[in-house]
Amino acid sequence: MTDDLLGDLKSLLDRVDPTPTRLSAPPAFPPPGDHVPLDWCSDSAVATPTGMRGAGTSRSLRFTSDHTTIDLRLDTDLGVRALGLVHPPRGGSVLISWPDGGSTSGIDTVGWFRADPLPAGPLRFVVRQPGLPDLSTGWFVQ
Amino acid sequence: MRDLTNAELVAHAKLHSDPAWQEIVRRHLPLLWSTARSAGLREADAADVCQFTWLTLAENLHRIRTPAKLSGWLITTARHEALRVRKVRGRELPVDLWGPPEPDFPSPEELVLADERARRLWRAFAGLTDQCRDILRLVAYAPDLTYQDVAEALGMPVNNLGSTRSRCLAVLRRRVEAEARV
Repeated sequence: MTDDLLGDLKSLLDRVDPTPTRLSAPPAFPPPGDHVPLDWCSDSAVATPTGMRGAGTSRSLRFTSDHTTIDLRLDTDLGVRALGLVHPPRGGSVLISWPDGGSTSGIDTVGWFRADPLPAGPLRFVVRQPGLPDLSTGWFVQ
Repeated sequence: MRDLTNAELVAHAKLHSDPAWQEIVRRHLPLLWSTARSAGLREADAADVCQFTWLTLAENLHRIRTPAKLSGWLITTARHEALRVRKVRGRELPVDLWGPPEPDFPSPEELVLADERARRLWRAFAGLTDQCRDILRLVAYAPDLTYQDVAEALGMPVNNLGSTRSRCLAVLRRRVEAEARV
Protein backbone atom coordinates (compact mmCIF):
# COMPACT_ATOMS: atom_id res chain seq x y z
CA MET A 1 0.00 0.00 0.00
CA THR A 2 2.59 2.58 -1.05
CA ASP A 3 2.30 5.56 -3.36
CA ASP A 4 4.32 8.76 -3.90
CA LEU A 5 1.22 10.83 -3.39
CA LEU A 6 0.79 9.17 0.00
CA GLY A 7 4.38 10.07 0.87
CA ASP A 8 3.66 13.69 -0.05
CA LEU A 9 0.48 13.53 2.03
CA LYS A 10 2.38 12.25 5.07
CA SER A 11 4.91 15.09 4.78
CA LEU A 12 2.05 17.55 4.43
CA LEU A 13 0.18 16.26 7.49
CA ASP A 14 3.43 16.40 9.51
CA ARG A 15 3.75 20.08 8.62
CA VAL A 16 0.12 21.08 9.01
CA ASP A 17 -0.52 19.24 12.28
CA PRO A 18 2.82 18.11 13.75
CA THR A 19 2.91 15.77 16.70
CA PRO A 20 3.71 17.97 19.75
CA THR A 21 7.33 17.59 20.77
CA ARG A 22 6.34 16.95 24.40
CA LEU A 23 4.72 13.69 23.24
CA SER A 24 7.88 12.62 21.43
CA ALA A 25 9.60 11.92 24.75
CA PRO A 26 8.38 8.37 25.40
CA PRO A 27 6.55 7.84 28.67
CA ALA A 28 8.20 5.68 31.30
CA PHE A 29 7.24 2.04 30.86
CA PRO A 30 4.17 1.65 33.05
CA PRO A 31 4.28 -1.79 34.69
CA PRO A 32 1.13 -3.86 34.16
CA GLY A 33 -0.99 -4.22 37.28
CA ASP A 34 -2.22 -7.48 38.73
CA HIS A 35 -5.89 -6.58 38.37
CA VAL A 36 -9.00 -8.30 37.12
CA PRO A 37 -10.54 -6.09 34.41
CA LEU A 38 -14.11 -4.99 35.02
CA ASP A 39 -16.60 -5.05 32.15
CA TRP A 40 -17.89 -1.69 30.87
CA CYS A 41 -21.62 -1.85 31.31
CA SER A 42 -22.73 1.69 30.47
CA ASP A 43 -21.31 5.14 29.80
CA SER A 44 -23.44 8.25 29.52
CA ALA A 45 -20.82 9.68 27.13
CA VAL A 46 -21.92 7.06 24.61
CA ALA A 47 -25.63 6.79 25.44
CA THR A 48 -27.46 9.14 27.77
CA PRO A 49 -29.41 7.03 30.31
CA THR A 50 -33.17 7.20 30.13
CA GLY A 51 -34.51 9.98 32.32
CA MET A 52 -31.42 12.18 32.10
CA ARG A 53 -32.06 15.66 30.75
CA GLY A 54 -29.65 18.07 29.08
CA ALA A 55 -26.00 17.75 28.22
CA GLY A 56 -24.40 18.87 31.46
CA THR A 57 -20.92 18.25 32.75
CA SER A 58 -21.54 14.94 34.53
CA ARG A 59 -20.61 11.55 33.20
CA SER A 60 -22.02 8.33 34.64
CA LEU A 61 -20.31 4.99 34.14
CA ARG A 62 -21.12 1.49 35.36
CA PHE A 63 -18.63 -1.37 35.55
CA THR A 64 -19.39 -4.93 36.58
CA SER A 65 -17.67 -8.18 37.45
CA ASP A 66 -19.18 -11.49 38.51
CA HIS A 67 -19.61 -10.30 42.09
CA THR A 68 -19.33 -6.52 42.11
CA THR A 69 -20.93 -3.50 40.46
CA ILE A 70 -19.28 -0.07 40.47
CA ASP A 71 -21.20 3.07 39.62
CA LEU A 72 -19.10 6.11 38.97
CA ARG A 73 -20.15 9.70 38.49
CA LEU A 74 -17.58 12.19 37.25
CA ASP A 75 -18.31 15.90 37.47
CA THR A 76 -16.15 18.34 35.53
CA ASP A 77 -17.72 21.72 36.25
CA LEU A 78 -15.01 22.63 38.83
CA GLY A 79 -12.12 20.32 38.02
CA VAL A 80 -12.75 16.57 37.96
CA ARG A 81 -14.60 15.12 40.96
CA ALA A 82 -15.51 11.47 41.34
CA LEU A 83 -18.32 9.96 43.37
CA GLY A 84 -18.59 6.18 43.34
CA LEU A 85 -20.70 3.38 44.75
CA VAL A 86 -19.43 -0.18 45.12
CA HIS A 87 -22.12 -2.84 45.40
CA PRO A 88 -22.31 -4.97 47.46
CA PRO A 89 -20.36 -2.98 50.07
CA ARG A 90 -17.44 -4.87 51.60
CA GLY A 91 -15.24 -1.97 52.75
CA GLY A 92 -11.76 -1.59 51.30
CA SER A 93 -10.42 1.24 49.18
CA VAL A 94 -10.19 2.59 45.65
CA LEU A 95 -6.86 3.44 44.08
CA ILE A 96 -7.25 6.15 41.45
CA SER A 97 -4.35 6.46 39.02
CA TRP A 98 -3.39 9.01 36.41
CA PRO A 99 -0.23 9.02 34.26
CA ASP A 100 2.06 10.68 36.78
CA GLY A 101 0.37 10.04 40.09
CA GLY A 102 -2.47 8.56 42.06
CA SER A 103 -4.55 8.76 45.23
CA THR A 104 -6.47 6.37 47.47
CA SER A 105 -10.02 6.81 48.80
CA GLY A 106 -11.68 4.67 51.43
CA ILE A 107 -14.99 2.90 50.73
CA ASP A 108 -17.54 3.53 53.50
CA THR A 109 -19.92 0.97 55.01
CA VAL A 110 -22.61 1.75 52.44
CA GLY A 111 -20.16 1.44 49.54
CA TRP A 112 -19.60 5.10 48.72
CA PHE A 113 -16.25 6.66 47.91
CA ARG A 114 -15.20 10.14 46.78
CA ALA A 115 -12.13 11.55 45.08
CA ASP A 116 -11.62 15.27 44.62
CA PRO A 117 -9.84 16.91 42.87
CA LEU A 118 -8.57 14.70 40.07
CA PRO A 119 -6.63 15.83 37.00
CA ALA A 120 -8.25 15.82 33.57
CA GLY A 121 -6.92 13.19 31.18
CA PRO A 122 -6.47 9.42 31.51
CA LEU A 123 -7.79 7.90 34.76
CA ARG A 124 -8.08 4.37 36.13
CA PHE A 125 -9.97 3.16 39.20
CA VAL A 126 -8.88 -0.01 41.00
CA VAL A 127 -11.18 -1.34 43.72
CA ARG A 128 -9.46 -3.23 46.53
CA GLN A 129 -11.74 -5.28 48.75
CA PRO A 130 -10.70 -7.60 51.55
CA GLY A 131 -10.29 -11.21 50.42
CA LEU A 132 -11.05 -10.47 46.77
CA PRO A 133 -8.84 -9.80 43.73
CA ASP A 134 -8.35 -6.15 42.78
CA LEU A 135 -10.83 -4.97 40.15
CA SER A 136 -9.79 -2.41 37.51
CA THR A 137 -11.92 -0.18 35.34
CA GLY A 138 -9.03 0.06 32.88
CA TRP A 139 -7.89 3.43 31.59
CA PHE A 140 -10.24 5.98 30.10
CA VAL A 141 -9.96 9.68 29.29
CA GLN A 142 -12.02 12.12 31.33
CA MET B 1 15.59 -1.80 18.03
CA ARG B 2 14.66 0.01 14.80
CA ASP B 3 15.24 -3.19 12.81
CA LEU B 4 12.87 -5.28 14.90
CA THR B 5 9.38 -6.18 13.77
CA ASN B 6 6.36 -5.18 15.83
CA ALA B 7 6.02 -8.77 17.04
CA GLU B 8 9.63 -8.77 18.21
CA LEU B 9 9.17 -5.42 19.93
CA VAL B 10 6.12 -6.72 21.79
CA ALA B 11 8.10 -9.79 22.91
CA HIS B 12 10.88 -7.55 24.26
CA ALA B 13 8.42 -5.14 25.88
CA LYS B 14 6.79 -8.05 27.73
CA LEU B 15 10.18 -8.59 29.35
CA HIS B 16 10.12 -4.92 30.45
CA SER B 17 12.66 -3.76 27.88
CA ASP B 18 12.61 0.03 27.98
CA PRO B 19 14.29 0.43 24.55
CA ALA B 20 11.60 -1.78 22.99
CA TRP B 21 8.90 0.30 24.64
CA GLN B 22 10.50 3.52 23.39
CA GLU B 23 10.74 2.13 19.86
CA ILE B 24 7.05 1.17 19.91
CA VAL B 25 6.22 4.74 20.92
CA ARG B 26 8.58 6.30 18.36
CA ARG B 27 7.23 4.13 15.57
CA HIS B 28 3.55 4.72 16.27
CA LEU B 29 3.20 8.16 17.85
CA PRO B 30 2.59 10.13 14.60
CA LEU B 31 0.01 7.52 13.60
CA LEU B 32 -1.82 7.77 16.92
CA TRP B 33 -1.66 11.56 16.90
CA SER B 34 -3.10 11.63 13.42
CA THR B 35 -5.79 9.12 14.40
CA ALA B 36 -6.88 11.22 17.39
CA ARG B 37 -6.82 14.48 15.45
CA SER B 38 -8.76 12.98 12.56
CA ALA B 39 -11.51 12.17 15.07
CA GLY B 40 -11.89 15.94 15.55
CA LEU B 41 -10.17 16.28 18.92
CA ARG B 42 -8.39 19.45 20.00
CA GLU B 43 -4.68 19.15 20.80
CA ALA B 44 -4.98 18.58 24.56
CA ASP B 45 -7.53 15.81 24.11
CA ALA B 46 -5.54 14.19 21.30
CA ALA B 47 -2.50 14.16 23.61
CA ASP B 48 -4.60 12.51 26.32
CA VAL B 49 -5.75 9.85 23.86
CA CYS B 50 -2.13 9.12 22.89
CA GLN B 51 -1.21 8.75 26.54
CA PHE B 52 -4.28 6.62 27.20
CA THR B 53 -3.26 4.31 24.36
CA TRP B 54 0.23 3.70 25.79
CA LEU B 55 -1.19 3.05 29.26
CA THR B 56 -3.75 0.64 27.85
CA LEU B 57 -1.08 -1.12 25.80
CA ALA B 58 1.09 -1.56 28.90
CA GLU B 59 -1.84 -2.95 30.83
CA ASN B 60 -2.80 -5.36 28.06
CA LEU B 61 0.58 -6.30 26.61
CA HIS B 62 0.27 -9.89 27.77
CA ARG B 63 -3.26 -10.14 26.33
CA ILE B 64 -2.40 -9.14 22.73
CA ARG B 65 -3.04 -12.30 20.78
CA THR B 66 -1.40 -11.30 17.49
CA PRO B 67 1.65 -9.11 18.24
CA ALA B 68 2.34 -8.67 14.53
CA LYS B 69 -0.89 -6.67 14.38
CA LEU B 70 0.27 -4.18 16.99
CA SER B 71 -0.22 -1.18 14.69
CA GLY B 72 -3.82 -2.12 14.00
CA TRP B 73 -4.48 -2.74 17.71
CA LEU B 74 -3.08 0.68 18.63
CA ILE B 75 -5.08 2.50 15.98
CA THR B 76 -8.30 0.74 16.93
CA THR B 77 -7.73 1.46 20.63
CA ALA B 78 -6.89 5.13 20.02
CA ARG B 79 -9.74 5.71 17.60
CA HIS B 80 -12.30 4.07 19.88
CA GLU B 81 -11.29 6.29 22.80
CA ALA B 82 -11.01 9.38 20.60
CA LEU B 83 -14.60 8.95 19.47
CA ARG B 84 -15.69 8.50 23.09
CA VAL B 85 -13.82 11.67 24.13
CA ARG B 86 -15.40 13.56 21.26
CA LYS B 87 -18.81 12.59 22.60
CA VAL B 88 -17.84 13.68 26.13
CA ARG B 89 -16.51 17.02 24.90
CA GLY B 90 -19.47 17.46 22.58
CA ARG B 91 -21.67 17.44 25.68
CA GLU B 92 -19.50 20.05 27.38
CA LEU B 93 -18.60 22.55 24.64
CA PRO B 94 -21.43 22.94 22.17
CA VAL B 95 -20.86 26.60 21.29
CA ASP B 96 -18.55 27.82 18.53
CA LEU B 97 -18.24 31.53 19.20
CA TRP B 98 -16.27 32.21 16.07
CA GLY B 99 -18.56 30.60 13.54
CA PRO B 100 -17.47 29.09 10.24
CA PRO B 101 -14.41 30.56 8.51
CA GLU B 102 -14.76 32.83 5.51
CA PRO B 103 -14.68 30.51 2.49
CA ASP B 104 -12.17 32.53 0.44
CA PHE B 105 -9.81 33.25 3.29
CA PRO B 106 -6.84 30.88 3.53
CA SER B 107 -7.15 28.40 6.37
CA PRO B 108 -4.51 28.34 9.13
CA GLU B 109 -3.23 25.13 7.59
CA GLU B 110 -2.77 26.81 4.23
CA LEU B 111 -0.91 29.71 5.82
CA VAL B 112 1.81 27.39 7.17
CA LEU B 113 2.32 25.80 3.78
CA ALA B 114 4.79 27.97 1.96
CA ASP B 115 4.81 26.30 -1.43
CA GLU B 116 1.95 26.22 -3.85
CA ARG B 117 2.25 22.48 -4.50
CA ALA B 118 1.68 21.69 -0.83
CA ARG B 119 -1.27 24.10 -0.70
CA ARG B 120 -2.84 22.38 -3.70
CA LEU B 121 -2.47 18.98 -2.07
CA TRP B 122 -3.92 20.31 1.20
CA ARG B 123 -6.94 21.85 -0.52
CA ALA B 124 -7.54 18.65 -2.45
CA PHE B 125 -7.21 16.51 0.69
CA ALA B 126 -9.44 18.81 2.75
CA GLY B 127 -12.14 18.50 0.09
CA LEU B 128 -12.34 14.71 0.28
CA THR B 129 -15.04 12.87 2.20
CA ASP B 130 -14.37 12.03 5.86
CA GLN B 131 -14.04 8.37 4.94
CA CYS B 132 -11.45 9.07 2.22
CA ARG B 133 -9.46 11.36 4.51
CA ASP B 134 -9.45 8.72 7.27
CA ILE B 135 -8.30 5.95 4.94
CA LEU B 136 -5.58 7.97 3.23
CA ARG B 137 -4.31 9.38 6.52
CA LEU B 138 -3.89 5.88 7.92
CA VAL B 139 -2.19 4.39 4.88
CA ALA B 140 0.05 7.46 4.52
CA TYR B 141 1.34 7.01 8.06
CA ALA B 142 1.38 3.22 8.13
CA PRO B 143 1.82 1.84 4.61
CA ASP B 144 2.48 -1.62 6.07
CA LEU B 145 -1.01 -1.92 7.53
CA THR B 146 -3.06 -4.67 5.94
CA TYR B 147 -6.49 -3.93 4.53
CA GLN B 148 -7.83 -5.97 7.45
CA ASP B 149 -6.07 -3.64 9.95
CA VAL B 150 -7.36 -0.49 8.27
CA ALA B 151 -10.86 -1.90 7.96
CA GLU B 152 -10.95 -2.86 11.64
CA ALA B 153 -9.59 0.51 12.73
CA LEU B 154 -12.17 2.42 10.71
CA GLY B 155 -15.08 0.05 11.21
CA MET B 156 -15.44 -0.65 7.50
CA PRO B 157 -16.07 -3.91 5.66
CA VAL B 158 -12.68 -5.24 4.56
CA ASN B 159 -13.92 -6.38 1.15
CA ASN B 160 -14.69 -2.76 0.14
CA LEU B 161 -11.48 -1.27 1.39
CA GLY B 162 -9.17 -1.92 -1.53
CA SER B 163 -11.51 -0.36 -4.06
CA THR B 164 -12.42 2.53 -1.76
CA ARG B 165 -8.77 3.29 -1.06
CA SER B 166 -7.97 3.28 -4.81
CA ARG B 167 -10.94 5.52 -5.53
CA CYS B 168 -9.98 7.99 -2.79
CA LEU B 169 -6.42 8.15 -4.05
CA ALA B 170 -7.60 8.66 -7.62
CA VAL B 171 -9.92 11.48 -6.56
CA LEU B 172 -7.11 13.12 -4.60
CA ARG B 173 -4.73 12.90 -7.55
CA ARG B 174 -7.36 14.25 -9.94
CA ARG B 175 -8.14 17.19 -7.68
CA VAL B 176 -4.48 18.04 -7.18
CA GLU B 177 -4.07 18.09 -10.95
CA ALA B 178 -7.21 20.17 -11.37
CA GLU B 179 -5.94 22.66 -8.77
CA ALA B 180 -2.68 22.92 -10.73
CA ARG B 181 -4.57 23.90 -13.87
CA VAL B 182 -6.50 26.74 -12.14
